[in-house]
Amino acid sequence: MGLGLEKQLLNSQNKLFKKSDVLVYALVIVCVFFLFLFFVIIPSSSQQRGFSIWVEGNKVAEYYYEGQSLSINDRNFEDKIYFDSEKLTITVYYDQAKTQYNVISIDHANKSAKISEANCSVSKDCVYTPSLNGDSAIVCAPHKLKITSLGDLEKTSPVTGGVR
Amino acid sequence: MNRLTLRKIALCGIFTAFAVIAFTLENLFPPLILPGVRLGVSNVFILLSALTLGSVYGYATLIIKILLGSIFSGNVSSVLYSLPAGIISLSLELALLMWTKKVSILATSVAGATLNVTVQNVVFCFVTGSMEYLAYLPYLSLLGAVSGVAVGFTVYLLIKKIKFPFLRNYINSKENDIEYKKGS
Repeated sequence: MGLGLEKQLLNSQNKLFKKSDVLVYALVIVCVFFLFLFFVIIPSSSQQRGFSIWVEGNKVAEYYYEGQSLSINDRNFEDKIYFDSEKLTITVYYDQAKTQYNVISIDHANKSAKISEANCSVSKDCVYTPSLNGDSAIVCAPHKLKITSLGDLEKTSPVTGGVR
Repeated sequence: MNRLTLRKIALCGIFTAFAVIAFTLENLFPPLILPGVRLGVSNVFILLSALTLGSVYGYATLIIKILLGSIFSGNVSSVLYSLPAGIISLSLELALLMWTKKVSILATSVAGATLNVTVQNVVFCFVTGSMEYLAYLPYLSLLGAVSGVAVGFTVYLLIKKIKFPFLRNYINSKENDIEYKKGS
């Protein structure tokens, strides 16, 4: 008998649609719409000069698509960042033993880059992040690696990486 | 500690185990479209735990799932952004479901999932110092809403079809409470 009552109450409570749902759905749709408006429709992407490689918040290297040049700014990383000019990849290591790495693939035709290989975590979020374009970035949280676009010549260099 | 509490703790453990397993298995597959985007099957068990056992058990399932899941996936730093996002969105879901009683599980799940990915993305941007990632926010929130539909519908079906031992939290009826204690 107890279970019968429970079932009855349950069926009156557990409905796929209730009147107040409209409000919740409307709110969600409005929020998503405004996010699209602010982040997708208003900003416009531009041609990029190159990208910066940041490790633990320090800019360790810069790469320019023109001339295919890699400049390493941080002494500690001089023997940890390798540029393969045939495959067009940059490999970044984080320790002397070279067990931890990220491989950055460069796409010169589209002036873009992405992380193609990593051993950071099981889910490998950085590898599945879309290629750089506009003011975007690729972050590998476990390795504290960040790659940011170098923007237009007219623009001020995105040194802080925090200002759009 | 009476027998009812013990049964609840045992059931909470089972829900948590399922949530961790679902989370770990999902991590093995490549994300859908954008990094971090998953169907969120583990959230089915968190919602079930919160609905059938009570909000405290829901939070317990959530927190243990995030801690263990991040250790198993080898990405411990993800706790920094997934824990606040999870707690905030579960609080919203519980508020919608238990206080108002006028919102369905499906709508609750959609709102919770959307808030979850949004908070997660914003906290991720601050933690890693990469505001450029905010550019993915609209896509993430939209995908979050879609996954919320899937999770919400699953929970709706499960509650409809399976006889869970403690549903009084969701039904919230004194009369039923007494009836139920007799039954068990």
